[in-house]
This record gives sequence, C-alpha cells and structure tokens, in this order.
Amino acid sequence: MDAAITGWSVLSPLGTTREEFARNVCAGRSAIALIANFDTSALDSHCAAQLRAPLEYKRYIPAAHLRRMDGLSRLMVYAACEAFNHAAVAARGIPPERRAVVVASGMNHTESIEQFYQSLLQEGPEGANPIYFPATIPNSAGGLIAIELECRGPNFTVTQKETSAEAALALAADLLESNDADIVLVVAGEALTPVVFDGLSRVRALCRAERGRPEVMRPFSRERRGFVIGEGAAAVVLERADTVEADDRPIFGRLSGIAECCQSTSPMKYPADPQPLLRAIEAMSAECGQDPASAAFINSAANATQTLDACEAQIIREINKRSGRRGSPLPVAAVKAAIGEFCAGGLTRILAAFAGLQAGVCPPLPYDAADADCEFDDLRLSYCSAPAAVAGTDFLHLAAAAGGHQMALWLRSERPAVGRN
Amino acid sequence: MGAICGLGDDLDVIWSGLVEGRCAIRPITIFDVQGYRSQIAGEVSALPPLPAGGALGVQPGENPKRLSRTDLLSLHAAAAALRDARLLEAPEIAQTGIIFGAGSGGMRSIEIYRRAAARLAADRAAARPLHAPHPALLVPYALNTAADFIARWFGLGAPRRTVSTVCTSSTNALGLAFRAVRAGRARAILAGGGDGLCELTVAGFNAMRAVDPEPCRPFDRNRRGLSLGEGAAFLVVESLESARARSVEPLAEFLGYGHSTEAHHITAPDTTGAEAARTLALALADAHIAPADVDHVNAHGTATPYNDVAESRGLLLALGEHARQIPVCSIKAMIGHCLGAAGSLEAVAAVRSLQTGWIPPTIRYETPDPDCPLDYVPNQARRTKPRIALTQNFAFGGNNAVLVFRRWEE
Repeated sequence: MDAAITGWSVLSPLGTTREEFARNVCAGRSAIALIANFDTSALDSHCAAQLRAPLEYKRYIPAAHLRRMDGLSRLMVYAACEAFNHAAVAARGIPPERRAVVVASGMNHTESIEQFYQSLLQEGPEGANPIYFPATIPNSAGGLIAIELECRGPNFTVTQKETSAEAALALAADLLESNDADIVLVVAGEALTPVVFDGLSRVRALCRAERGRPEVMRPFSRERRGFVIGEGAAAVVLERADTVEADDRPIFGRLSGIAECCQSTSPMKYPADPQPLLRAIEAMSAECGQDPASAAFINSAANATQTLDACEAQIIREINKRSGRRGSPLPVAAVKAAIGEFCAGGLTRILAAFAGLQAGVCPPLPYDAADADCEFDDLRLSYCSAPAAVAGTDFLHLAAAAGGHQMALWLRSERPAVGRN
Repeated sequence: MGAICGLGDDLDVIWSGLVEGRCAIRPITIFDVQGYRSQIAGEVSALPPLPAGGALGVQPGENPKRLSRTDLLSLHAAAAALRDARLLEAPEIAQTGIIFGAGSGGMRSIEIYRRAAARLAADRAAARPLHAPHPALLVPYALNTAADFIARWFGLGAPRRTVSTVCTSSTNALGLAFRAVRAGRARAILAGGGDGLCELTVAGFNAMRAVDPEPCRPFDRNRRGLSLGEGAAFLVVESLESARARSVEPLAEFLGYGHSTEAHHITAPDTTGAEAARTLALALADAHIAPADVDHVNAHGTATPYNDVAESRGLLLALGEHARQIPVCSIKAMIGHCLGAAGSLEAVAAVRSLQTGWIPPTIRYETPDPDCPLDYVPNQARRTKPRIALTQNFAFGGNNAVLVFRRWEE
C-alpha cells in the first residue's frame, strides 16, 4: 500500500517556509555557522546548523499553551499545525479519533530535563518545579500536538537515533495499512541545546575545529572530519494513496517502499557493511516494483564520518553496478552537508529531495577531493558539487544510525510541492 | 517471557511473590532521597550481571560503563525471554526484531555524570584534585540505547524500534509487535520495556505530589498516590506458524490491541472514564470478543486518586455490569509503578494468570471507595482459571493502551 503525503511543513535553518527552504536547498546553500547563542569556548567544536529566524508561534499556539512548552515542543507543534493546514485536515471533517500522530526525536526534551534537573541540583527536592516535569517526558510534544489539533487516534513517539524520522514514517504507514487512522501526522524534530552539544562534543561525536580551521561537513570527500550538528523540525500528513486518489485530491509525495536492516555495531558506531541494506533494498524493490536504476537520484545519509560515508559509497556503487548504470551513475545528494546531522533530520532530507525534484535538480553537496574509500576505479560515482539537472520523479532515500540501524525508502514527488498555501 | 523487578530477577520468583502478595516497595538506596515526600520504591536490590551467551556476547573492548541501569535490567529480561522462547541460540534469532518501550532510558547515567561534573567544577574552584566524569556515561542518553544493546548482544535483526509513551511504552511496544506479526511484516519480535529508577522521575512525581509516602494502596479509599518502581520485562511475540515450525509451545494467544489518545490534558486523565472505555472497546473489537468474554483485568491501578476512578469508570462503561463480576488487580501495590516497563510486567503477569489460573491480589486494600466499585482481589490471590485477560495502561500525554490475551488451547 502506498502512503500519500497530502501536506507538509518545514522549519529548517535553510528556511521556515516551503518556498524559502526549496530555494536554498536547490542553490546548495549551507546553514552551518558558528554557534552564537551559547558558549562553546571550552569545547573542540563550535559550529552548528541552527534555526536563527524567530518564529511566530502565536500564529498557531495560544499564549497560555506556549508558556508550558519548551523549545522542541514549540517547534513540533508549529510544524504540525502548518502541515495540518496544508493538508486541509480540519476542513475535511476527519473525525478526531481517526487522526494519528507519530513524533520522531532522538534527543527529545533536553531543555526541559536540564531546566528541571538544574533546579534540583541547586535547590534540592524543594526546588524541583512541578510545572517543568511534564515537559520532560519524551512524548510531551506528541501529547501537545494531540491537544492542539484534536488528534485522538494513536499517538507514538519514536526514537531511533539518526533513523528516527524514517522509523516514524514506517510506523505511520503501518497505522494506515492496519486502518488505525485516516490520516497520520508525522512530525520529526530536534532542538539543539547546550547540554546536547556539550555531550556530543565530549564523546567526540562531532567534527572538531582543527588548526584554526572551523568545522565543515564534506560528505564523501577526503577532507571529511565528521558531522556538524543541526536542528529543526518537519511534518507531513500521510494518508492512504488510494483514498486520496479516489477523492481526486492533490498528492505532493508518495511513499512506496520501506527497507530496513540492522547490523551489530556499538551504540556510537555507524554500520560498515553495505550488504545488509543492499539485500533489504533488493527485497523492497521486488515488493514495490521499483527498480533503483529508475531513481532520479540517491538521497544519501552520508554525514562526513569515515565509516558511514564509505559504507554508503559501497551501497551506491553496487546499486549502479547491478542496474547497469556504470556509464551514467545515479546522482548522489547528501543534504546533511547543508542542514547538519540530527536524529530526526530524515524528514527534512526527504522534503529537500522533493524540493530538488520539483526544480529538476539533485540538491548539490560540497564535494571537493576524492577519497579512496568513496571512489572506485571501476565506477566513478556522481557526487554533484553543483546543482545537476535530473529527470524523473522518484528517489531512493537512505538512512543510517549509530548502533547499526539502517533504512531505505522509495519515494516519489507527484506534483509541485511548493506554492500551495 | 522474561522479567526483573523489585521482587526478583527470575520470573518464577517474581510470580510466586505476586501470588503471595509480597511487597517489594522499600527505601530507595541508589541515590540520596532526603527531603522527598516519598523515599520508597520497588527498587531492584542487586543489578544483574551482563548476560552471558547469546549470539554475540561481550565484544572485545566493550566498555560496561556505557550500560545504564535501564540497559542492564533490559538485557537481563531480554535474555530470559529469548531463552524461554528457545531463541537464544537458534538461527531464527537473526530474523527476530525488537520493539522496545522506553520511559526514562539511561537517565540515571546522565545524572551521575551531571553530579560528577558539578563536583568537578567545585573541586576546580577549590583547587582540589580533579576527577572528571567518564563521557561514556552520556551514551545511554538516547532512549533507543537499550534496544541497540539488546539487538547487538543477541544478534537480533529488523525491525528495531523504540517507542516512548511513558507509562504505556511497553504496552504499545507489545501492541505494535502484535500488529506487525499479525500483518505478516515480522515473524517474531522481542517486545517489552525497561526502566531504571532515576532522580528525575522520583523528583518529578514528588514535586507533583503524585506519590504516597507509604507503599501505595490501589483502589483503596485512602490511597494517596503511587509508589515508583523499576524493572524490565519482555515477551516474544511470534506467529503461530513460526512457533510450530520451531516446535515451541505458545504461552498464550495474543488476541487484540487498542490504543488511543485523550487529547484532553497532558497529565490529568479524563475522569469520566469515557476515554479509557473507548480504548478498551477498540481492543475488544480488534480481538473480536464481547465484553462478557473478559475474565480478568490486570489494571493500571496506580493508586492516584484520579487514575483509579477513571479506570474503574472506564471498565464499567466498556464492560457494563460484567465489570463487577470479574477480578481486577493491580500488581503495582507490590512492585511499584515501573513506568516504561509497567505494561510489559503486567502483560507477563496476565499471561501467567492465564497459564496458572491464579490472579495476584491487590495488597493493602482495606477501605472500599464508592467511586471504585469493582472486585479488586483484595489482599489474597484467587484461583479463577480465566480464559481471557486484559491489561491496560494510561500515560501522561493522554496515551491509553489495552492488550487482550487468551489462554493457549490447542
């Protein structure tokens, strides 16, 4: 069963409107910059892809409700409301009991946890503020979205590190298939906080400034030195494609195939073996009847780490080889170079790919120097360092998480995703 | 099935404790609780060692410091469940997925790190010797860490999911596993949850004055709030075809799952019981059974004033007068509210009730509450031979979930 995307929104450092986001994605702009809102001088890393434009939260969220929401909940609820409106859910009279919510976040509500815990550390049990505690629970954003948009169907919060958003989409598709809901609002987001940045820096997960050079993300390049963290939120409304088609309503994108596999790696390491995901992609292709060779491009999960990029390059090489595209390899996008790596960033990457397809380009990546692990003598991969024209409507989206979880999704851009408000 | 909680680290020991009405709620020892309204919980007295065996076991260079309290509890229960299902050494384990229900995850490790970091700053200011906290303590922050560890330890394959809806996390993990197996998307899934005690939850529930200073008394008129607990429990949810192919006898039949959201308030339940009843009705419909078919309910029964009323009213609304005829128990009176692990611990107990015919008691039940007018199996276990049992949980965020099990009969 295909799932149709009937509405979407994005709150990204590359843009907080659909139009601005699409424009910047296609132009290959990067949102990575020095962190300005907290001190990083004691750390080895100083850059991130951060949301900088203030959002008019009151457009969707009553002031009284806003006061009880942390930064992540505000982002999530705002993105949910935008997508909900874009899909005209309320106007269609879908019963609240048939509206489901699936939230994806890797780090959840660190801001609230920190706020609550600091008061506990400084003032002891008497200082722990009961107002803050409900905001610390992992599913508080999901609960708040349900309240704001009257979604009384299933409501889940999914955490699977960097594959959180893709896992949420898979769960949403399952809910539609099992007829648990008429629409599923999938909201994926992450809010960067000092404590998260500090923690990731201390466990050496981030790209570090070296010899006076600031951090950059150079997926697949010889100069890659790890990832820069990002933040943002994105939301889509998913419905059964056959129902939307029967109603003759617009479909912006279509999710047709889901592949998944797991490797046994430690929680901080990325999968290295390309074979498990290749096997899963083969099975998915057979099931959904899509040939990877027909993709307009591959939306890679490369995050400028040595292991993951090499693994992805092997996967992409094999897909090209097996589909007889040695001479004209599929273009490769690596959107994380522009938006940074964050656990629920998969949905933003998917929307970036849609934006690229609507403009007829593969979103470019800042590729500079070939790396022996990501380039092959028998097949030169097509890393697009400038916007490259592509034909077609479909793309293969890859996702990988530290800890060994990998997914691949087959998606189609169906009609102009930008412009309808 | 496999479980660990304040009553023990072996399912037979836990079950006999439940049937005997033993209380595992006692003073918290793992951190300082001075100043809190409630200083007790169903704490696991000794953390289990890392499980041996499995497909992979301990890897060279493994850093045990990376395993949080939740990870250790979960690994132990997962090993027991996989062993019980005869999957631990079986080749089919590579085709077995995991759906993990998380609550606070590795929060205790983060707290240890944060307190050590605070001490470090103070020591630096006072020019005392410095002992920097190990950054590996930060690794379990992500809620999916336990699922990753379990999958790696035992060589589990896809799907791998971590869902968090706090008090319904492991209920939903089981429900989603059931749905995936029933739809043919998976052959077998290890599903359940784990949650270790941490200061954040103890402080939070204390700050909200949702805890009883004494061990909790579910459904009793004089109840004053919940008691926290910790633990982990997993069940292997497998298609009958797959179990038969492996010559494994099912423990029970998973019949149905209902889940919904109240969209009413982030912490307070709908006290009319209508929302609880709606979820229960969804589960009954999913299981294709009538209200009169239900023989036993292993309740959420937190012992908070609002929950117990909402739950009792929900049962009356969904099951009608039949709700008064069946035994409804809360094992939280014995093991505390294990949050992310509560649903799977209660599911394990419900399945054991179907297997043995024994319903655990709701201990410390002394004074009936007119707003909770059901049969709560007060203080003594009862033998009733139930055929169909429900478990239900309700969570912050307005998240409700109900599971339906049937006694296995060939």
